[in-house]
Amino acid sequence: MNRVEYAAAAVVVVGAALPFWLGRYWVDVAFLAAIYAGIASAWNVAGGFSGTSSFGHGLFFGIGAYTSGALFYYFKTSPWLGLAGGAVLAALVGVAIGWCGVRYRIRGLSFAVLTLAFAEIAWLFVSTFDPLGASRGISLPPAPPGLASLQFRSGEGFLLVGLAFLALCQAVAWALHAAPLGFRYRAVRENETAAQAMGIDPVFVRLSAMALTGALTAVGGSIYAQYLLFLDPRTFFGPDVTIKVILFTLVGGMGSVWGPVVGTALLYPAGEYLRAALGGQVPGLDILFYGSLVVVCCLTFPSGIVGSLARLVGRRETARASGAQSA
Amino acid sequence: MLLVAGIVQGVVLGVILALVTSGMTLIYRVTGIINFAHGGLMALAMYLAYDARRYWNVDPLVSALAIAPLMGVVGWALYQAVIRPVRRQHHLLAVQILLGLSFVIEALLLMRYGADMRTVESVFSGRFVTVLGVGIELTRAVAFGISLLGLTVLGVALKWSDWGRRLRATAADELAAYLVGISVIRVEAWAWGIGVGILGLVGPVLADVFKMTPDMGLKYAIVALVVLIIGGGRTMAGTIAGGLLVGLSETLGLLYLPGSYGGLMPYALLAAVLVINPRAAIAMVRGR
Amino acid sequence: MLLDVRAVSAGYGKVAVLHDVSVGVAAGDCVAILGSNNAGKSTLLRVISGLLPARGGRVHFEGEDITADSAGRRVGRGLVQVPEGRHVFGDLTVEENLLLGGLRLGRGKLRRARLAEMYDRFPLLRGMRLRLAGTLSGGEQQLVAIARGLMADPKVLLLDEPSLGLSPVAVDRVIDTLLGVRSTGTTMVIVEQNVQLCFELCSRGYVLRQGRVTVATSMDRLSAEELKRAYFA
Repeated sequence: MNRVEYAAAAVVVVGAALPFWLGRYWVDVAFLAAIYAGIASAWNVAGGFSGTSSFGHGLFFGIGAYTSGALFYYFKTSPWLGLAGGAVLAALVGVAIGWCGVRYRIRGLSFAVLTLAFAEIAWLFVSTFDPLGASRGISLPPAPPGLASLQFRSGEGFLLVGLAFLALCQAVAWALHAAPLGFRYRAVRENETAAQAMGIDPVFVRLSAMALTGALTAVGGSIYAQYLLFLDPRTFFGPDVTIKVILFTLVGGMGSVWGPVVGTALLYPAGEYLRAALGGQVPGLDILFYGSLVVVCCLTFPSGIVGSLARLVGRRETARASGAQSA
Repeated sequence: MLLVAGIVQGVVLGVILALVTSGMTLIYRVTGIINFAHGGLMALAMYLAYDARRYWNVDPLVSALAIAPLMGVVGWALYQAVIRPVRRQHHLLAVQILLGLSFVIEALLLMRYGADMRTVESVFSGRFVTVLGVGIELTRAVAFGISLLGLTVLGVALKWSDWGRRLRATAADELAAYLVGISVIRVEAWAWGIGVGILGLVGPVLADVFKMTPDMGLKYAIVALVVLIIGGGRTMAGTIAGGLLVGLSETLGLLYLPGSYGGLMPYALLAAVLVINPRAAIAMVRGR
Repeated sequence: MLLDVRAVSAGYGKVAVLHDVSVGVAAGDCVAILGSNNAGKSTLLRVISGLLPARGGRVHFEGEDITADSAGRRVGRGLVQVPEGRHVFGDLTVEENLLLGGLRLGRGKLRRARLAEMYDRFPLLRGMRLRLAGTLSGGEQQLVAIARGLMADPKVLLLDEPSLGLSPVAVDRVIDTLLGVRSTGTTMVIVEQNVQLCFELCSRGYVLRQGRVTVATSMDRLSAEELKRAYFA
């Protein structure tokens, strides 16, 4: 991590504290932002670090939500158990898809499309599969609030859980970035053949990236399901989540530890505000905002906010260092 | 009898999807970019036909003649404004820009037309024809005919004209294209113009066949992508085959499988194609 | 001078490859550009054909300054390059490749006549006119690439390593082909590792070392000593 990343982390921590003071509405927004930021970070672990981009994260999100939700609905299983089970299941599915990619040499955009195909299959399947509520969805029963049931009387409780989830994702991303494994991820992203020549196993990199990203995304899904208390195929298996987190990640800075979080923190609350404040008179304003912003961002600073800032600071520091040398 | 009905319906749908996808294939082959705004642009063309009907009472089959060149200009401008600046960069960037554009179109349509489902009546609406003993809506049959015509014209132009040779040459080898004096940028702009222009032709025609809502864009972009990949993404013949496979598998799947599991069939087919022959899918490398 | 390269400099990114290179080619000449790997030979050709912009110096063709012209416009003027590694349009038929080579002749009779002429000159190609160029052997592809270049009726034909990666038999065929091209009076500039080929074809030679012209003389006066230095220094 460099100075820009530390600064970004500080901004995010302050930003996370702000809603407790701003009040109820912003607490809900902040909770959702934390979930999105965590998933964006999880996406970034695979797509940004190891170059294994996915267009099908709704699959993992849905697996997490439906595993814990359905177990809770049918067997009153503790959502914590369901959350863990969903994470394991999503990791396995991630490995299976990753293995498909490795086995049949599907890479890059083709691989992303493969993940999209699996997510669409899952979406359509769940929309039709009656035991999981088909397209009607399932309403989850309320339980006594508390940490054990992952249900809370106030938004603050959810926000704390959401922030814990985000912290988990960031810890994983940061550890991965700093550890030798992260180096291997980047090596595979930059040049798979060269990485192999250095003794790095790209199969392990791809499969572990898919397992990690799948498990983390599923945890986010489980928490979100307990918040909504309603499972429906479109929300969880649909493409909306994937598109949003990729957007947030690209705007914030793909491949950097804090980029996805910064992107989400900037874009999501603004979009929500537009929807809440003006959505009544002008529906679609938030979509317009996201859409035009991503076009502008991609064209003006393609390496994202964090990436561009880091380069700017880097250039100034180099200039200062060389200035000192010549003096 | 059920089987015949399924096959007829599937072929009709397949050919329509093939024309919708042909523009995406053209753009992909020549510029190496998957147009994720394809469905959104088609929705735009459909709503333009809706306005033409509402304000000037023009039949969508007629307004298509004006909307097609208009969409062609839109495609050309799109290339110059947002695609050309990033043509040498990471392909995810172009994908993301086009997804963003798809959002912008969706939002604008939602603002102007609201979220309600709409259709545009043409002279053929509400009537049926019988083909091989199977009744089909006339609008659908007309869309089928126009799609067949469009695919034929496009195929002939690509195969036999200098214009088509320039496009195929640029798709095959960019460096060599420069060296025989082809202006690659102009050819890429042409591919975008024609690829999006086709949507201007097919969109209005489909305005009474497919249900029209502002958020339909992404769905049809994905459908077109499935057709493109199943068809191999290289040739118009492949795209037609892909369209037919998707149309038939979906129609027959919905007929013979319980519930709406049939809707899964095209995606299952896609996964199978990727696994059986990933090289036939998209390599994302141009000129290989 | 038909083609006059005056004190050209060029490079990629931060790397400068060519420094003040001057080359003159008279009408009817066949000029060889010699030198070891990465001496800048192919870069020079890319600057002449317009694939790479010159950072300094000018390129004149038929007395006009074409330094600012795009590759496409230079082809229009009759300055045509046959690229290294052949680069035929693999998905297109041999005939389509040739037709594309003749784009500057327009759509009409002129191009048809030129195509017939090519088939007369390369009977082998007539037999495979409907085959996809990508399915041909390396030697056959080189033939297609040369014929495609000739289709434009070039005033100067630039050839980048025409013998690269070909079998000895195929190299002989390329030499025969190019001897035929020279006999029709087409001016040529050849970049080539195969010195034998240059001696058989060319009248003048320029030796490049580290991006500079070190020797410029007629081929029969080029001494073995100078050649050895050019390639092994």
